[in-house]
Amino acid sequence: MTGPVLQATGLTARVPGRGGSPILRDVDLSVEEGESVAIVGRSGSGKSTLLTILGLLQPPAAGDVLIAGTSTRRLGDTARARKRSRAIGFVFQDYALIRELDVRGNLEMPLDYAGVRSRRDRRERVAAALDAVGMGGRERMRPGRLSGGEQQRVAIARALVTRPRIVLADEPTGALDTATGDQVIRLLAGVTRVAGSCLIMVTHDPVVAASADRVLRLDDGVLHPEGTP
Amino acid sequence: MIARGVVRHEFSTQLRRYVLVSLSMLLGVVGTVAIALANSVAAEMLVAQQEQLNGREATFEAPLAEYPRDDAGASLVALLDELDATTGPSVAVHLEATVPMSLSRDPDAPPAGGVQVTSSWTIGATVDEIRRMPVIEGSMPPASCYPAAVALNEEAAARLGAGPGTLIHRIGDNGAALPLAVSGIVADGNAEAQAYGAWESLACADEPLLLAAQLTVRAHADPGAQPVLDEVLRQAAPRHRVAEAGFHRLDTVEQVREQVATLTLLFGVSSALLLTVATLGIANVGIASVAERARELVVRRAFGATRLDVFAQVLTGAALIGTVVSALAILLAVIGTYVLVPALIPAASSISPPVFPWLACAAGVVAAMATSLLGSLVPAVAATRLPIARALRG
Repeated sequence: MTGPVLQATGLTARVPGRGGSPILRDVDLSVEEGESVAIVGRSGSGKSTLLTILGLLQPPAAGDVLIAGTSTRRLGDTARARKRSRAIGFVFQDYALIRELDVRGNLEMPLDYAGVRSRRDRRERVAAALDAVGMGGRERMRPGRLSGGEQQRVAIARALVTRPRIVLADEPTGALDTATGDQVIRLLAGVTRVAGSCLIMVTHDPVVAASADRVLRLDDGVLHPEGTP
Repeated sequence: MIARGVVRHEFSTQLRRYVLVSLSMLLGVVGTVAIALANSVAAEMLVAQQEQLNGREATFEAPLAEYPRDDAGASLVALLDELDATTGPSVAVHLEATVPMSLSRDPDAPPAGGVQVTSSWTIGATVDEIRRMPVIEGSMPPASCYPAAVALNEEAAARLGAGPGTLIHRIGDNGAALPLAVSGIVADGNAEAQAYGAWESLACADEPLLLAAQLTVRAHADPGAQPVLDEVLRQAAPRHRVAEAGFHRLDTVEQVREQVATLTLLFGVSSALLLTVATLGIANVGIASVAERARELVVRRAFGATRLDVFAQVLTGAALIGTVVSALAILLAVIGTYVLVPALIPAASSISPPVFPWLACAAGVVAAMATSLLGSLVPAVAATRLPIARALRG
């Protein structure tokens, strides 16, 4: 593989509305395959906005996001959705598992949109993803029967089941106690590395951030390496 | 194309909501079909009652002026022949002689001691071709001479304590007894005692009595043949001593149908209201559902669902519900038409079992689909407009 998996150039975002104040100012970012990056910053510094733009959930006011060298600037809503289904996995702070579906159903949901139709392929992918997070054999359990740490493991498995190039995590340990959070973050960093995906996580927890290969700080919409003024 | 797994997930996650929507829709659609069925039965009941009392739809009658004794028989036969020849098989014509009689099971009863009945003796088409008159027991009377046969209505049968096979007697003014065999009991819708027999039977036994009776000619045509019948009867009237009043429409089915049309309109409005309420209910449940499921739907969008996927997901569920509800509505209509309603109609009734309400069912299916799709359209559009950028935060 040559070149970064994810590259952002000159990203700008503004508060919605005419003349909205800037949230992101000319942000550049480049993440390599297997690399993990933590983005830290105060509340309201634009971390989540940056993540939604990198995840193609919203377009930037200016700038471009390149995935494996391909620009996404001119993609329409449907094409962005297709791109997300194949290239990006998400881990949410509140896990966001669908409570009416069992663990298998939750993991099959992204496969539906990624176009994985073969029953055998789906079964194998679900089993492999659950094994990777230590939740093998729990396919039939409902999320409500799992602890917070177990639910986040399932959420990580769901993010990885389509074998995406990029995993985006928003405060992945925010709802967990410290010990469980440590386990989950080690797991997240480990499985994404093994899967060859890059990991970009937003956190305000310095311990979590320290587990990443690189830490970046977002201040007033400007992104710079942690420790630099 | 929407993935099969998405539809399966949609139903497994939203089962309770879909059951609620289905019930709401089923109420609307089954209500529509039931209203159509009730309308059809109510109309049939009113028409049946009128046709039983007065004559089937498009029945005409004219009283005949008194015939001279010497040529009465020949004239009447000529009238019948002419009407038969000119109207063809689509028209049923008969002559009826109406005679008050005193009937008793006792041949020695005094003249005023019997049960007073009105007797009708017909030649040509049978009474039940002209009027709806179901036979409750036995059979319609044959044209037998010795003894003459009669069918009694329920009132006459009850007052005489007679049934099929019973021998009764007409007690003449002079006390002479004429034996009559009861062939059956008919439901004629009349509260007064009545007896029915064949003209030929009374002609054998007492022709003078027959010709002294009030004579009436009656004709029933299919509604489509009515103009022909009108013309034939108008031309025949002057040649056959039809009374000056001429032929007049005997049945009141048209008036009943007009009343039924008003009833149908009311029923139709009720159906429309039911369906509107069902649609609003579905839309309401759908909108509430989208609000409640907003998090799930934006998470799906984050994982690659397009707006069309989400739109189709909501609408596909609605279409499947519409199909299931349609099938259920048809099943209930079949049960209602072929099991429930016939069971409610008394065996001796002149009411015909209702025909299957195909039109109402077709309308019900269209209504079910339209209701489910219309009711789901607003929520489906709302689902596509959820702010996906907020997916990251609950």
